[in-house]
Amino acid sequence: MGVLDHIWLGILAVFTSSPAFTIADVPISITIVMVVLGFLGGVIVGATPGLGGPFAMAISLPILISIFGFNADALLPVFGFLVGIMKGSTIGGAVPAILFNTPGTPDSLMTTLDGYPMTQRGKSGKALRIAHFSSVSGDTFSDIILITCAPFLAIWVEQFLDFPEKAALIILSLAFIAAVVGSNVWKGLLSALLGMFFSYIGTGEDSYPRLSLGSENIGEGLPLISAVLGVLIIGEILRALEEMWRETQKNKKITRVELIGDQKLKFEDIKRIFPFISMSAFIGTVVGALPGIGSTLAATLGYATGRKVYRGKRKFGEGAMEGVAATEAANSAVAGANLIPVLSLGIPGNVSAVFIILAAESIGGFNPGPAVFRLMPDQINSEMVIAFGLFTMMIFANILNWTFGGLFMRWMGIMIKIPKQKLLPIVLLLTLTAIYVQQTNMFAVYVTLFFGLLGYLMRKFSISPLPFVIAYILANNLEESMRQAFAVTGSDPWFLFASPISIIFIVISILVVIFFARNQKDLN
Amino acid sequence: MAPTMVASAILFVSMALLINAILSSRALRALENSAMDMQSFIFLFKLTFIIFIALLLMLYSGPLLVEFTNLMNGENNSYRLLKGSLPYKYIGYILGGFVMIFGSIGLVENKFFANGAWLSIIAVAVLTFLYDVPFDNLLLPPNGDY
Repeated sequence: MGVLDHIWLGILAVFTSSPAFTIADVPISITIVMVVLGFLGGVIVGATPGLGGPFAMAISLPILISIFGFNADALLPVFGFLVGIMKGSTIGGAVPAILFNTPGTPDSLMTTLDGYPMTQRGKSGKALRIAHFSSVSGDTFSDIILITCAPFLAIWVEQFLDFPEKAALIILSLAFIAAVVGSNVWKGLLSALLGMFFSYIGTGEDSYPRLSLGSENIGEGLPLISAVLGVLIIGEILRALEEMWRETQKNKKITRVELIGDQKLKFEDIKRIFPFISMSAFIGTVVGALPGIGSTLAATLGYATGRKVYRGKRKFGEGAMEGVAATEAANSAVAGANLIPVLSLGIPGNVSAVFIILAAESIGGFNPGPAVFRLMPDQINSEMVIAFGLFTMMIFANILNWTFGGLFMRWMGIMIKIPKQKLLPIVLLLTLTAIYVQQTNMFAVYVTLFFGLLGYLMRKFSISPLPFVIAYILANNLEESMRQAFAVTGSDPWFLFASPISIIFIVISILVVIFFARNQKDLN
Repeated sequence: MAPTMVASAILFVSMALLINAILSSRALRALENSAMDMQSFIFLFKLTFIIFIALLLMLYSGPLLVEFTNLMNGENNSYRLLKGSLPYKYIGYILGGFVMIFGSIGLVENKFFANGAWLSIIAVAVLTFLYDVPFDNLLLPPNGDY
């Protein structure tokens, strides 16, 4: 079976499998319904300050798995919902940033710089339309790069990388993520090492589980979903609750501004912002393809580059529409490109990708990595069909974004009225419940709270939780690759230096850490 | 071997962070302006207390109600047998969930408002409906543990 057959099967799987209902005798598949629902949910949570795509993914994943079960048929509907959330939340985040100077997601922070001044001048409608147009353009560009690059990269990896090289590649990815995320390389490394340490609990090839302290529960290993949601979601909830608690002590109140003005996006406007969208889409895609660098940095780089080349009358930061376009195109272009390392290498680069891996691990039948794009003579590679199904859903979500996204996004200004201090405790219970229904064990809830506390402390000490989560997911793969590499090289302890490619990866890992550590010194 | 190597690396990185802080003479300043001040500990203590009470209620309300009913009616039922029937099925989750949401809102707002209580009741009811009513195979906390 060739690549084209797999592409066609992927498209068919999305549009024709398991019809949920029919419209004028045309069956609508459950996968399509899930993409639409995820997309609408994503716009809503993106527009709600304090929430965001990862929150929605975390809460919905256990429910989705309960609905669709643990079989390969569940993969596409579950991925469809997650893709919908991912796409919807990227445009939703701009709404509160533009209308109320409150970024819905961290990467919309730069959107406030020009978006909110536009609102103050009565141009909020135009600002929202520019944000939508730029965001969807950047996202579409990024998806095209993903669809065209990921399979080739995966084939290259599969052809040229053996176990020692794969182990070295995971070390390089972890070193890179630890070095570039957050304010300090050492803190990034500490975060990644802690993630690896906790993932080794209850594992190993000995007759007894490692680091279990004699506990039967711990001996079975800490649930992946508890560790991920604890550090990422509960940790963030605790931090945000404390911040609001401190604000209440100081009697601070959120200032509100009336929504005024509604102007259309004209062709001249598109001509003006197009160069900025192009630059930012490129920057966002490159940044997104590198593991660990999130959309916040992409937005900052896109904005900074846009400001350098901008020659207009109204300055950046004073309500220039090019500023909104540069930021939104860059942060949205990260979304698709972030899946390049997931699908081609099996390495999650950001939080959304972590949830795709989490869904794949929970359901089974799909192991993101180079083997996904392996062609087998006279056989269908079901993983490749799912990968092309994933691409089809991303294209479909983009079409939704282009057609209905703008209108739905502009309605979502109302979400700012939901008070964060009332919403987050509900999300806390919702997350704990979501974990319980999947694990049906209070031990999983206690583990989640423990990791929540760890995530809170990491945030307090400016240690990024992302390297922790990614290292937690990759640690066992790394150990397995190292064991296999050790075996295939005839128990050579220097197996990481056995081939030029693995030596290059290890040298780059060391250089990345040294480079960013020195850079940090200069900044200090 | 892997945990030992990782733990050694954690020790090495922690030492590097400590030495870096001392060499750049930021250690004392960092201690003075530590991110974890007394306010943080007070907040954590209060929130931990709320979550602890909520989890206690969640775990033991159902079994305690069964014991109370046994005492009143002279029966000898166990929570394990009754956990699928009303009101035992939901009482732990509803009471514990209510305390968790209402307590956290009250903590953050520094006051306990009636609208916070109503919101907590509605939220717990919606979550119960969301997870339990449409799915026969899902168990709300703490019913899977009994």
